[in-house]
Amino acid sequence: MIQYLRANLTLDPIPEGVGPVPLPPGAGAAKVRDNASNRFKSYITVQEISAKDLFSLTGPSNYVDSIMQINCWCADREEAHRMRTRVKALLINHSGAVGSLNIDGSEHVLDAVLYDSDREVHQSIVRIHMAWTLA
Amino acid sequence: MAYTRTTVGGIGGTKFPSRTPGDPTGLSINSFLIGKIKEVLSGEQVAPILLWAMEPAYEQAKADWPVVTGASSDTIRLETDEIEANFARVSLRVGGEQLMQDPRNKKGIDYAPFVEFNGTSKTPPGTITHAVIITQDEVKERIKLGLQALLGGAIGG
Repeated sequence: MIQYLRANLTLDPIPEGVGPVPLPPGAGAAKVRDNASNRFKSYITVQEISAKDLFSLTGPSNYVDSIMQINCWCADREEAHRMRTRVKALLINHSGAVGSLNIDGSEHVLDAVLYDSDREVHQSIVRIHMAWTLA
Repeated sequence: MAYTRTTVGGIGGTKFPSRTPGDPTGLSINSFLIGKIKEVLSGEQVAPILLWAMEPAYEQAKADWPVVTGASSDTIRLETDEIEANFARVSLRVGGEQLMQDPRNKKGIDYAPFVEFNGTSKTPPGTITHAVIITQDEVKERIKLGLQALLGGAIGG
């Protein structure tokens, strides 16, 4: 999924990176502006919150039900929300190949927003429920 | 079971994506009466069943939530949010005003969402969500049993 987001997130400015948690020190957090767009730099982290294997005697087996959490980090709140909107457009209701996964179905679970006052960074969060198999 | 549809959603969801300090975080269980059942039962009758059905999720969340002072753990609760003619919503919540007022919480801030979404050094994120997801089958079974008891077996699956 990380590879898929890296390849398909068409954002301006492009996030500093898309990776697993934790957020690398300073990434997306420092109030550093992108040279070309003059906007704050940003970062996206991806993590799996919960997973449950699905087996069936008569239907499809080897599916995994996962809740994925995607965190969009930026010192600019609007920028963090804009990234999340783009992530949601890419992943919610998506079915088909996502990197090494075959997504059978995906749906929105919740949105949330946190502010880390120590690092002065907004965290725009989306959780997505996905049923998938390995491609 | 053909007489309810149960869904899980975030509190606020996309309608109110932002949160202000003191808004508790958590997940909602929604139960919609469908088919003939909605002619004989009301959301008001379903709400107590939902509260009872959600107990396994509540117990799981209490068991998994990280405890240092116990202030945030003590705010884990089930609340009835919405009751309509053929619909009821119950939420599993943590944090909020109660946590901010707790004397064990020295800074007086609602840190429960940070625990839920980012975890702690010893606990992964998603304690509430995980509790709801892994107990979902049991919760749905309890809703079915509760409705059957209410109907006295008058309507089959």
